[in-house]
Amino acid sequence: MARKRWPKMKAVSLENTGHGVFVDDPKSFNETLAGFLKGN
Amino acid sequence: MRMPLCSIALGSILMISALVPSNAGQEMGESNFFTTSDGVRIHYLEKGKGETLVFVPGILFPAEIWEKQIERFSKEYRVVAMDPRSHGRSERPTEGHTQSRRGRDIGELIDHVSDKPVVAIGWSLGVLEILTFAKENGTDKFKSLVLVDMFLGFDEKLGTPHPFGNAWIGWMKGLQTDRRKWISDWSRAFHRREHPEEYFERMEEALMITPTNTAVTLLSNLMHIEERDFRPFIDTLDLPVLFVFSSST
Repeated sequence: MARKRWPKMKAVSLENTGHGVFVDDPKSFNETLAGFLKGN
Repeated sequence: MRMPLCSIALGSILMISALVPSNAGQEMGESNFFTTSDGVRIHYLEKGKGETLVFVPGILFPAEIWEKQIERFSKEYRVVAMDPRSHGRSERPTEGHTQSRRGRDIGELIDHVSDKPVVAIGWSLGVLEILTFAKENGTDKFKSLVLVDMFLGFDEKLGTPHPFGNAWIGWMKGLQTDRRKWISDWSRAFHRREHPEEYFERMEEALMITPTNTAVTLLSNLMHIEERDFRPFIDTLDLPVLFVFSSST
C-alpha cells in the first residue's frame, strides 16, 4: 500500500510577516506552536 | 599618560556590556554552557520545567532572538535556546562551521540537556542544521520538529531557481567591506512590522559577534556548498512536523 505523503505534517503561513516570522508576529506564531505542542 | 586602573576596568565592563544583549540574564533564562565532542563551548539559555523544547536560531543570530517564545513557553515547558558555535556567547572556533558539524552540536546539546526526545524548533539556517543532523544520525532524539521559514529544497538540475538569485554576491561583498552597514540592513530586512529601535540595536550588536571570516564561511556553505534539497528526506520522516512560513517569503 502506498504511504500517505507527509501524514503528520502541517504547514502554516503567517500574514504580514518577514523572514523573522516569530518576531514580527509572536502572538500568532506562539498560538500556532502551542496548538501543535498540545496536539503532539 | 597612564590610565587609572578603575577607568580601564570600567571601559572593559562597558565593552563587554555592548556585546551582550541588554536584557539577557535571569528574566530570559539561566545562562549555561556545555562542551561539544570537538571541544567547543556552546552557550544556551534555559528556563522553565517540563517537556524540553530546543530552539535554534538562524545565521549569526543569538539565542535571545527567541525572547517572546522563551517568555511564553517557559510557563509550561522547559525551554532551551542555543547560541550555535560562533554566535552570541558561544565560543568562536576557526573550524566546524559546516551544517553537519553544527547539526552535531544540536544533537550533543540535546544529549546534554535531556534523556528523552525533545521538540526541536529551528529557524532559517537552524532548519537546515536540524534536518542535516536528522538525516545523518536519525530522528531518535526528536519527538517532533518545527521548521520556521526556510526553503526546504531546490534542484538546479530541474531548473528550480536559486531562492536568493544573485543577491548573495552583494551580501558576500558587503559583509567584507562594510560589516556594520551590512548587519544593519540584514537584520532589518528580516522584519515586516515595526519594532523598537532598542531591539534592532541589541540584535545588531549580537550579529557583530561572529567573526567576518566565519560569517563568510557560513554564507558560502549555505548558498553553494551544503546540501540544499531536503524534500526527499522530509518525505521519509515519520514524526510530527510543523512548518511555519512567512506569507512574504
